[in-house]
Amino acid sequence: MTGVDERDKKIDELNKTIEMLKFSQNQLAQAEKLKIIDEFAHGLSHEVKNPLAIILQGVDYLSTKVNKDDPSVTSTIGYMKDAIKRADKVIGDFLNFSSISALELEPADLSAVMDNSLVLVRHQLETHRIEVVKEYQPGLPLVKLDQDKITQVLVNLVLNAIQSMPEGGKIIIRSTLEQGQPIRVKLEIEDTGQGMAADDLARAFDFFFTTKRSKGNIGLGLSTVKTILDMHGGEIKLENKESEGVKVTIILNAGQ
Amino acid sequence: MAKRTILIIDDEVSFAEMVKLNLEDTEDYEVRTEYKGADGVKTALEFDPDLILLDIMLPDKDGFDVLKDLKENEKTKAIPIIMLTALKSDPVKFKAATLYAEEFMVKPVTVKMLVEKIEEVLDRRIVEKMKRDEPKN
Repeated sequence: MTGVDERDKKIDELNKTIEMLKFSQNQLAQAEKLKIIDEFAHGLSHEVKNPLAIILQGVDYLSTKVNKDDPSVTSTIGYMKDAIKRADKVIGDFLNFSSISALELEPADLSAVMDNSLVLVRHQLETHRIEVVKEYQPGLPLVKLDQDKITQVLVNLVLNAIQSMPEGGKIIIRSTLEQGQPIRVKLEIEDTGQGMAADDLARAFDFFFTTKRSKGNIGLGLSTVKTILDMHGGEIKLENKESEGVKVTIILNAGQ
Repeated sequence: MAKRTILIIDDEVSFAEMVKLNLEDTEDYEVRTEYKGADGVKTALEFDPDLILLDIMLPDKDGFDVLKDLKENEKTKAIPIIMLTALKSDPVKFKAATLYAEEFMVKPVTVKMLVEKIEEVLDRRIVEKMKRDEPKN
């Protein structure tokens, strides 16, 4: 090896080390920010859940004392209970988001993590008559990831796909090796649903953006997904397919 | 049938009183309330309830410390305890507490959910006692 080759090799190694340090620094900064949000969320949760608990007990008590033959009374009680449930769900979603404070990375087979995630949504898949087609490339390298958090990501994405197909449909899941360096694994999740409006696609990862607010959704699902993937140094892309439905692409770095 | 006796230890006075009202309204329970941990332990010793509903965040001492005090005291250790809390955090503490508490419930809870859980815990306790008392072959 010539002196020039030797120097280039060292520069290359140095660049890799700098990249790794930048990634670790970014992770630490993210973790610190999320820790503060987590503490805030738990304080807020305590302060909101207690009044909700009092209101719910109060509504339950009053519902035993009023004339239930009057339909407007029973529907009013129902609306009040639904509102309490919705407010509680908002707090729950916020707590879920805020709990992404640190990653526990370990090498894992991304296709196997996908399979485990599908087990968790098996009931919803059956209820909504969704067929799952898996096209996993064999022999893919392991990916360094936090299994619980990536499972949270995949469950979230599959649930979104299910919700976009109220009349049933198909989810195609494909894992492949992404071309180029560093070595990366790509996972695509496609549905045959109605697709997304261009404006919604552009804002899908924004905090508190949702098209399902009336159903009690506060719009932290996809921003949580993006935050988790950012912390892994990964990527996510959302696009409408030419024919029908949405394709989500996730790319994660391979590594032991 | 004799009424079941319940002790609620919760610093949210309105919540504790609402739960007391709802449980007593069923006419199946006699309920006492305490708003501080130390008072809760004292009343548990005097009242000897069938079950305790215990909050985690208390003004004078942590609910987990109250739980430990009750479970380490010969006179109160057999009383089943349901941790009723607005907090869902700190899995380590929760794990540690599962060694002691019979159940966890996260607020808000309906009266129906609460009564079902109380009855489930009390029934479980009766079955366990019957098994213990069975003559050994």
